[in-house]
Amino acid sequence: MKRIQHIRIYILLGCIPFVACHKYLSEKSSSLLVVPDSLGDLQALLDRTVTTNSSDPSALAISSNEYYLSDNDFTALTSDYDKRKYQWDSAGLFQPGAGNDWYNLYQLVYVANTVISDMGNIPQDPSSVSDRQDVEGQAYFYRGKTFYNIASIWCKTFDSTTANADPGIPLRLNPDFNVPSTRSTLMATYKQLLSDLKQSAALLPVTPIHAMRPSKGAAYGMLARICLFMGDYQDAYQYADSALSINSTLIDFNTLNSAKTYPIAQFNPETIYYSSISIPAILNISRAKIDSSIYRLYDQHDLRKVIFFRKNADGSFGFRGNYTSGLALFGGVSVNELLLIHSEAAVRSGNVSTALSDLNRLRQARWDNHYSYVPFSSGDIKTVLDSILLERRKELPMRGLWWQDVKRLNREGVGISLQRTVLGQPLVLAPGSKRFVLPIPEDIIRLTGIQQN
Amino acid sequence: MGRLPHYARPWKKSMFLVLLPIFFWTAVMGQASMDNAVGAELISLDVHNAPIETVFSLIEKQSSYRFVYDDAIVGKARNVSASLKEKPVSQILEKVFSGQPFQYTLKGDLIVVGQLNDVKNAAPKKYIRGTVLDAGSRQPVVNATVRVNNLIRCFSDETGCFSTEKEDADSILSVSSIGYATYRQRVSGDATIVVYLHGTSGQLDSVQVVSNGYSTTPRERSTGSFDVVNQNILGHQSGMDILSRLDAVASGVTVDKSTTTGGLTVRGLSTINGPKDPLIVVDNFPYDGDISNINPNDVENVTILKDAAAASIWGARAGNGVIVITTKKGKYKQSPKLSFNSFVQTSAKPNLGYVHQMGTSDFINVEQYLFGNGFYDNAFTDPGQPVVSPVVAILQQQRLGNTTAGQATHQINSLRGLDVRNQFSKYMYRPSFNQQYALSFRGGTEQLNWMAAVGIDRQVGNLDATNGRNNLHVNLNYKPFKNLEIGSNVYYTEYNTHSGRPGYGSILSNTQTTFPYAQFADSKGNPLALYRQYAQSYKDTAGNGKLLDWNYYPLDDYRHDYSAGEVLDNVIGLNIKYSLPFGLSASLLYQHERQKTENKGIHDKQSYYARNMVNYYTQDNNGVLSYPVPLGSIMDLNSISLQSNDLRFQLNYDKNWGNNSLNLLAGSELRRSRTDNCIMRYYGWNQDNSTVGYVDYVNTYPDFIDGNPVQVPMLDNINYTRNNFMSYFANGAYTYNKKYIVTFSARRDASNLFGLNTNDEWNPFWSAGLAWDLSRENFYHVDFLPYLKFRATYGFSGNIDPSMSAVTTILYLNNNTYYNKPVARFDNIYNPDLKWETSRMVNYAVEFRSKNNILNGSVEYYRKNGKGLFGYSPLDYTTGVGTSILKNAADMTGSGWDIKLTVMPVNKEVQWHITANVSNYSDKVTKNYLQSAYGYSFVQKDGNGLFGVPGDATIGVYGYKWGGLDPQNGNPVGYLNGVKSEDYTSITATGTSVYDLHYFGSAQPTWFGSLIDNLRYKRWELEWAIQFKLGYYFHRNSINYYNLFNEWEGNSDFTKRWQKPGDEKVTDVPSMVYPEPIERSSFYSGSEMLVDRGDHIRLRYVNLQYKLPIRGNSNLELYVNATDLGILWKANHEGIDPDYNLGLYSLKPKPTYTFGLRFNY
Repeated sequence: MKRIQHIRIYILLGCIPFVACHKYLSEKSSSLLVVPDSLGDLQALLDRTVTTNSSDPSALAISSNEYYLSDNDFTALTSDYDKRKYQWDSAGLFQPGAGNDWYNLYQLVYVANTVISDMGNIPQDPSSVSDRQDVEGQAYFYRGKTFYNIASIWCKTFDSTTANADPGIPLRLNPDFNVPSTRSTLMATYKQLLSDLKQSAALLPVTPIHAMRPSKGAAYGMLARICLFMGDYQDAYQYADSALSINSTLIDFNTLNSAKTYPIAQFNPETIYYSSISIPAILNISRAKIDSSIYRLYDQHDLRKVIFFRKNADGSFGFRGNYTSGLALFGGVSVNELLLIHSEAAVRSGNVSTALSDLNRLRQARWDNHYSYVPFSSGDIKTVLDSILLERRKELPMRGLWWQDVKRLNREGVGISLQRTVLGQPLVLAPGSKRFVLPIPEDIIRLTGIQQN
Repeated sequence: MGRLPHYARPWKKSMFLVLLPIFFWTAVMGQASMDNAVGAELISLDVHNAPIETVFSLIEKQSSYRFVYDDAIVGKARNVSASLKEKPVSQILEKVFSGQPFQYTLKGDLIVVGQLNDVKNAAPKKYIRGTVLDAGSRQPVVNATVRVNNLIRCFSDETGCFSTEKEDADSILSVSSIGYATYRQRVSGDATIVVYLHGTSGQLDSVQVVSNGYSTTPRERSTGSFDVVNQNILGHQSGMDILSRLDAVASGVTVDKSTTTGGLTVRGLSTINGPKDPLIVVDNFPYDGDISNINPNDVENVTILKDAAAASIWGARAGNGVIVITTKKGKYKQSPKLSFNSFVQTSAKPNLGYVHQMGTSDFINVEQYLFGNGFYDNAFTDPGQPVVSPVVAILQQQRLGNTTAGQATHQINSLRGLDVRNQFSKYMYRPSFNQQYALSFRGGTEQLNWMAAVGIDRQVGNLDATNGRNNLHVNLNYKPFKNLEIGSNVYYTEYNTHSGRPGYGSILSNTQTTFPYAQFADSKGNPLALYRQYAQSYKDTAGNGKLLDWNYYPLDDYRHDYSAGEVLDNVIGLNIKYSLPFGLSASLLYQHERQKTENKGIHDKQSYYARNMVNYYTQDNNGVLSYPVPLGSIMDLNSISLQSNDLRFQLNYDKNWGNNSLNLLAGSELRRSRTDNCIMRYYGWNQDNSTVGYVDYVNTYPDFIDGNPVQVPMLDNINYTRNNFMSYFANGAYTYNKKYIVTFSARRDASNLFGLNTNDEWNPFWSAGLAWDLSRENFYHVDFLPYLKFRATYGFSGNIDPSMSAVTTILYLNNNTYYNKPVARFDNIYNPDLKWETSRMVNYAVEFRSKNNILNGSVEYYRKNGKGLFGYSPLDYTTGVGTSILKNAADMTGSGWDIKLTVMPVNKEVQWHITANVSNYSDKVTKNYLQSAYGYSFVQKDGNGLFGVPGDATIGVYGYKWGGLDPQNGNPVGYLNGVKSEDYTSITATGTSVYDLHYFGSAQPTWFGSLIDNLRYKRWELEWAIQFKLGYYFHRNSINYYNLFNEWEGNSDFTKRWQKPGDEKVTDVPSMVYPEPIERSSFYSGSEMLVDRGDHIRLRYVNLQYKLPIRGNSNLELYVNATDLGILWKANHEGIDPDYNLGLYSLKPKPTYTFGLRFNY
């Protein structure tokens, strides 16, 4: 009798572990672990601004000759990679591994690809259609913009006559990391990035909750920039026009306080989409001195002269006109750039009056209102175009755009050569130099076997 | 063999008074009956033709009776057949003894078996009276068996005394006890004698039991590899925590002090990137709390499970070995014992001269040289106001014309004689002082045993950091009736810590270090401000006096910037064991642990940290100041709560029949542990009225210094973990004739850790073993080696990285600071190719003991094969998932020897024991699945996380090949594609693969162990231990010019640098050049020139004990101990102690001296 009771108890005790076994073993092991399976999760990945908004590449800003370093500052620099970019060397421009521009940019591509590919697993829900479109639009925006940024550094400028033969970038379109990287053609690269951005323009909302979130205006703005550099002026005009129809606010520089360390506010009304180039030591305002040839371009009543520049103790000038209101350079989309694209595309299509009205609108907003502004006027397309291009230099310094301008203008035969002097050694980057296309990080070449530039 | 009961009953009542408030159920026990009528216990016996010993043991199992007999008499016994159910013992005994050539007498609960006429007819003639004492400790030996002419007569009592009658005029008295050599003496007539028993090594293999956390097995019945470190040995070291006391005494165990990833390892590593720590088990269950909660005084012994057979019952978690800590418990039938242990411990200030700091004058010369080259020019125009050192500030003043050259030189020269190490030594370090008090009280009756212990520890470290620990430990076991045993264990710990002064290397001017001429106090001892973080000239004038004082005063900042921690830990265990007939028993064990940790990081309003935060965020709107970081103190609060529940159900089956013995156990286990973590920061905290300030975390503010937009950092965070395990296990041993043993063990685990798909994977781990006691064979006639046993085991285990999952997961971070939306990043990228690491281990051992136990020990050889070890494989980062990925990257084999020898050359009045632990371990990569890997990943990291070339050690030391110094300019020369080169950028990046490096050998000792010498003479005992680590390599620090220029990190090798052609013949230290590319420095730092042999021998500790002559049962011992006595020999000539070579600021502790006393009553 007694023994049977015992046996019963044992059987009962032995069963304890089986109770609720499945539930027990599938409990989430950490509150921090989440399988991305909702729109909110994907949005959270895209809201990590350190990846999405603060990792614009610095390579072109460093390579640009809008600034110079004193010999002492150059010698004291700790990064040999940045020194080599500054000297327009042909190899060893990128530190291997984490942190270089290639790494940062493709990391953002991975985020976008994950969002695009996970989107299919999230059930459609009528109540969240607009959110869904927004998230998807953001992912396409980031992919398109990032592909363009990659192409701008490591590819030739787009030329429709050679783009089918020119090497493009590795187009990674899904998150599977087992797929080997190969270079596409430049044509395929641009097709892809334009299609991504067009798709995002269709999906994104007109008004984002914050300038750090992509919007329709941001997508149009990127498309306008890219089409301008591609030489597709008609589309550039259209896209700039679409973007400006959403926001064309200009800051009146008379309202700014030049006594502030950084007079232009972060997230100011001109900012359509905010992203920044996180700057290495070489671009710090204390080292990167603005070439006097640029400073001299400004009229004495042009407020940009005081708003954009800070006078150093030694009489040189540092650039402080960042739309980031800090040390970081601005890489986003803003009304001033779009107005200049609009203007340039207009004049290149023969629409001089629009071009002039855009140009004068911008110039007036930068003009000291203690002095009367005399609108610029000319009937000659070449004169107008030249003054628009000059205005671009004056309005958009230190944004990484000058390098791309030189490349695309040289494609059209303008023949700009870049010059700088390093430790007494004059350096020249002649039009058509191969070094306008930066070498791909050497470790990537070794790991993937893709073609070096 | 049995024992006489010697428990003092009066103690029982007072014990209840003591423990009643602590335990409710002691009351229940008080009512339980104390004794059964003699021979009235009901037992059953069902045997057929069984040997008499088997019958005796069956009776012993069911009753409280113990048999006392002599092998010679019982050897003539006839086998017994009987079938009696639930009969009184007396009736059973009648049956068993009927017809036997001997008889029995009941004495208490002892059944004394004697020759037929011995007991009845012997007439008392003479008496022998005596006292049995331990020859070493002079403590009474209780329950020693006293024989006269080979017949058992009596046993020594609590005081070691015995008294017996003898018949013959001339008799042989022999006294024996477990763990002692038998004493023999011829006695004639009445005699009163003192018998000194000499211990046989104190850890005699034949009587030792080993615990694996599930069961205890007599060592003789085990096949696995165990190392038991008993209380006596643990007591010879005096660390605060138990694991530190294992160093140098446990065989096969290394404590790695020289790498950041190191720790305690058992028989080398089985994994490189998986979890590496051995599993720590405290009283049956894995211990989740902080191991320093355990008071070493509460530990009875520590068992290290080294091979697969010993450890595989723990399954997946046993891959790195298991350390089983058993705490002290009471014993049944033991008179109450009080013991008290206390010590004070001190260690002098560390010698800062050990740091290879660059000379101050050299450092200043370098600053002048760099200043002349314009290296600091940018600092003076940088709006971020970076800090420059005082020398650079003086030079700038001179350049600006504010000081004359003469004044500047004078100011600078006055700094040349300073050395910050003197400042640290004078103002920061002090001798440490530790105290430990432990009081325990234990005892037991027939039905109840109990143990209560209180421990108090106080430590004041070399930097005045304090910590205190209070322990309370209560253990009760109760047998309310014959078959049932209920036990409970309560372990309560309070642990408090308070940070102290900043040590060398933690006072910072820039982000890394300070300058070598820093001064903390003026000549009167008043605190001096130290240049820190921003230019001092800026700090002095910023805000025109409107800001808070921006100076940093290292001398008293620690009073205002400190951390304080508090840990409360409770462990409650309950176990019930019920014995059934037929050798079956069931037990249910439950343990609950709860640990609450609260750490406070306080930066009060006078701290530099708080003042700097306030100033940095101060907004000046036309003279009106506002404070985004409110004025007041800043407090960081981190609370972690840990809870675990373990439930185990276990069935044991022990059956002996004939010469066979079978022991089986099987069971299941549930384990659930959870942690909750909460981090909070309060700004503007006012300690006086307990208010906190409001903070705007969302908007950006221009910082005060250069107007960059910044946000107030928010550190709040809440998270939890929930780990659930479910396991089944079984363990069995079959012994035939005590000669042949077969064991088997298996376990399957499942948990919620391994991701969604792997959750369903129940991974089986198993082991099997064989043992053969050769010395029990009839043909064995090796007289000088009376004990010889062979063992062999094989086992299979695995390892998994618990952070892996079968899906891609993301990790939520704090909300987006710009628009307050949730933010996440990728945490785990699903890798479908990832599999478990597996490990197979074989172990062969031989155990032996020589005649008279002069030599005993064991020699073990093991070999393990790891397959699919996790390693990071370089990845094409175009994929966007990083530069490397975890893969099953390599296979390895490891093998080694563990030799443990105890020699007792002298074992008389002077006792001399020498114990040698010698271990050899070496492993190598057998297969590396990775493609070419860059050399830079391997140098200077001593192989961390990566696998080298097949044939190399899994954790190998590599260096760039060295081509000497360039005779022209003193540049270090390396090799690129086999040719001498100074292209450092290529050498240190993609130009060197691991195959191009010089491979030295293992970063971990391949030969290690200790020699422990123990001498006893009368009341004195002297022990010392020598520890050795041999056959390994390490990277030494040298001058790194890049770090010197940019981080102010110097090294005394600077003086040996190449300065002129010809120097390359006498030095390997490169010249100083400007500018210094980082790659030039990295090349030299990672070069083979800086690899040294780690081999060394050190005197680990010396221990001297003296036992005071005290009458009665009690004894009092005084002891002195010295540890960390330094190195006796080392292979490197750089003055580096390889155990203290971690980073630039590694200090070497001075010897620690301990003075203590032990008292037992």
